[in-house]
Amino acid sequence: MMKGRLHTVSVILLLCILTLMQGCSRGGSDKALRQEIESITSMKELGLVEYRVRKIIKADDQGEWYKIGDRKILLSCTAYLKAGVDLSSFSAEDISVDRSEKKITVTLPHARLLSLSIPPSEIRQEFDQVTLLRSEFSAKERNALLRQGERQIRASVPSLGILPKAEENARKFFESTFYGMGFTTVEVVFQ
Amino acid sequence: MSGEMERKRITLSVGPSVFLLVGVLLAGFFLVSSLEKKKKKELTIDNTALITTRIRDLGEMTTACYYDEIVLTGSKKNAFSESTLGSLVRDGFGKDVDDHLAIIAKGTVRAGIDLRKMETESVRFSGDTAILRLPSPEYLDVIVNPSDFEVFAESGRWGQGEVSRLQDKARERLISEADYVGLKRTAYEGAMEAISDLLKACGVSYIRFDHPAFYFPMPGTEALYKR
Repeated sequence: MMKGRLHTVSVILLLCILTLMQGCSRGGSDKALRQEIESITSMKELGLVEYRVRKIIKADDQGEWYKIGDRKILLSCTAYLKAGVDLSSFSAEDISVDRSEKKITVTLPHARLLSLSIPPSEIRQEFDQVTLLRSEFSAKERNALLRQGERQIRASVPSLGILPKAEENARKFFESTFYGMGFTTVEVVFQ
Repeated sequence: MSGEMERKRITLSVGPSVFLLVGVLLAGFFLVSSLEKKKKKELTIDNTALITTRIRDLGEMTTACYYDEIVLTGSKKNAFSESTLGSLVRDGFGKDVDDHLAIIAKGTVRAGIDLRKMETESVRFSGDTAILRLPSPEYLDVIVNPSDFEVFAESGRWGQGEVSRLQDKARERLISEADYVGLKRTAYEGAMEAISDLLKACGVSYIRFDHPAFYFPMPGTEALYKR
């Protein structure tokens, strides 16, 4: 009697565990699928100019008071900056057409930096000097210095002149496109 | 008797002093180490100028972006692992004595079409219908920047050249993953949608696409781009 009840309980338990396991695995695959879908995002960006810039990253590590000697390093990198206009929020309301006068007015958002790329193959260690009692620069330390360099490049974007150049190219691009479509007056406004 | 008393007195007077000294030393040690932790700041780089070496006009429409995280590992022999002692340690204790580097890379692949590759005959008008032949989609940027890398584990000495070569593999892996998820197709469909929206806003009634060889539209989707 007791044995039979135990058997029933164990079967129910096993079923519960199996159901739970199935639920968990289904949840997991759903999550994985969702992550895969989210890893691709749609966008509408028009890249209009690319600047290639070079930067020297230099650091002089005098060390803390208990460290004897110093370390110096010079790294160089090349960065590719692309600027243009983000057309994600661009809609029919941003275009006004006057068919009688063959005139079109396009309102675009101001240009912004669309991408910054520092290819690893274009990062070079030009020089390093480490005194006897100090340790060499590790990969982690060098990467930390390069991250700072990347931040400095991003911070220099307003002074590079890349954004006005992108807007100038956007104007040229839309003018040539719409003149090609038969419009005689093309007005490009940035807002 | 008096000598023993004298010894006791010395012990009594020296004992607390030793405790005090040890206490002061320990407190000093903890104070210095805690100050050290607070003081330890990131080594900062000097602010150097940016030299612009090239300016290139573009006409790239990015319509899809793929993001992924990749683990990169590298190992190499070192002087110790190649020595007799090193091989003894490896064979005797089963201990790995090579140099290792593990990096986590977060990368982005941006895909779209290069509008500058469109030729005059790529756009034709037939009545109120625009017939377009868009250039094939391509990967416009594969981005793995220093801020996207995390050095997770590092043993031995790894030069910048070796690290860069390992990091460069992230780009290849990202491209093959982007191929696998069909990023170019997504980008092409995004470009069709973006251009259709633009042309419709300009008053073009019907838009038809002549697809490049790679693109076979799913049955029924062709109608999406016709009105």
